[in-house]
Amino acid sequence: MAEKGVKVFGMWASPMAIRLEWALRLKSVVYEYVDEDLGNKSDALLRYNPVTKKVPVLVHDGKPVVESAIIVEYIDEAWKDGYPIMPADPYERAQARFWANFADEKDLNGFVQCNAAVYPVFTATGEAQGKVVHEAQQCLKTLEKALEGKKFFGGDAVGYLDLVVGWYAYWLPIIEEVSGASVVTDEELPLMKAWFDRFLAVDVVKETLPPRDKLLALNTARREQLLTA
Amino acid sequence: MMGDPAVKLVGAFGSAFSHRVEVALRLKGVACELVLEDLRNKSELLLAHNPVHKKVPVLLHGKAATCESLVIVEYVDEAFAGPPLLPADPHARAAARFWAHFIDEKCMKSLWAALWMEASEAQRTSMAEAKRSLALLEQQLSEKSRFFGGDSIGLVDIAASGLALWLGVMEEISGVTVVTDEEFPALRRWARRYVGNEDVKRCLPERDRLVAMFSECKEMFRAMAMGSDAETVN
Repeated sequence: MAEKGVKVFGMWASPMAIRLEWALRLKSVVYEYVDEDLGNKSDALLRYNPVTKKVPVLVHDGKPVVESAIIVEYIDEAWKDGYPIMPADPYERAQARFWANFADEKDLNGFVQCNAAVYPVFTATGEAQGKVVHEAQQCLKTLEKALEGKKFFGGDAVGYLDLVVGWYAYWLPIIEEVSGASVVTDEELPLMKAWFDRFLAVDVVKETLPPRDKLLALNTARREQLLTA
Repeated sequence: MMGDPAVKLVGAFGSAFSHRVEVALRLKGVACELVLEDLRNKSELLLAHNPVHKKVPVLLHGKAATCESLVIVEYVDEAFAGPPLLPADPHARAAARFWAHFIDEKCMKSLWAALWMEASEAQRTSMAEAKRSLALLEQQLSEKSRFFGGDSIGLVDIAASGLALWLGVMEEISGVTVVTDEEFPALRRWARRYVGNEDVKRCLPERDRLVAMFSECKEMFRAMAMGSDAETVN
């Protein structure tokens, strides 16, 4: 008997997992969320994702899909009559994918792209922090160009790129608070800051965000751990 | 056809990434003008159209400039008619994207380090990682299918093209062997099939010229592998 339905294997504090929830809710798809303990991964997770063993994994009628950005595109295609996540035009789609890569990945030569520039802000201290913040701001300033003249990266409504970089809107201010760094300010990144507010006001986003105090506590503890390691 | 905007590919000789786009265009039957960059002296055209990364390949199609080889391949698949480079089924499409991404993220990075790093603990770790990743990729090739894409070349084959020609050349020049017939029989069979394909052949650089080029770059690759700040042949 074929397994039916939609399951998300995630972790409550994972910004990558939340992308799936946003996408599924935009499509009004009902799903079951399985909150993994990453220190003790379930047999089901390992069975569905033997290659990378990571969250998130989407399981749709028993078939797994992995890699959050790829899963978001899958959700758009599998429920193609719902809310349009990817732009319709091939060139706009290419632009969205280009910026998603820029945000998510280190390129082949290890040159830093957005996420890789943002993570170090979490643990940098003292003088090093200034340099790391500056690099993060440079990356975000480049990314900000994709917002010019628009309410969202997707245009008038949220789209693929908003879902991919949306986690910054909630997690970055927490990283800033925990590390004492100031990255996204009105002076340095006005468009991004304004987009943060608009994105956090979107219904599917508001409904899914983990409690701030819990996330703050987790990240404070993790930072402690990393700094004393 | 009259009225269709011109297609121009800004690439570089010997670039496996440029090749990806060239082969995609050929498979779709799209005529394009190929502009070969001297990567030590990048043109205004390249810098204007890829201000973020300043790298090849860049595809110019009418007013549109698209960057990042795999992004361009998907664009070519969507913007032009012709045989599909991705499967129709959403699950199969997601799997193709996963493996294409896996090739770049897991295989190519560790391969590069394994080939060019000095013999060391780090190099041995990279070698192990490369083999582990390639073994997972090998499993994606079945006895029945000719290519990762099935009977015809698709996104994953195009993403893996560096493993078909460039890897052999780099193994020769570095003196480091990673992919043998014994350990990776399916990958080796696939590689021979890929480089033997009529469409692919027209987009591949001559092996001798590639060997000569990479021989010249050997020291630069070794330096890059050690993490120094050098220009890339990308």
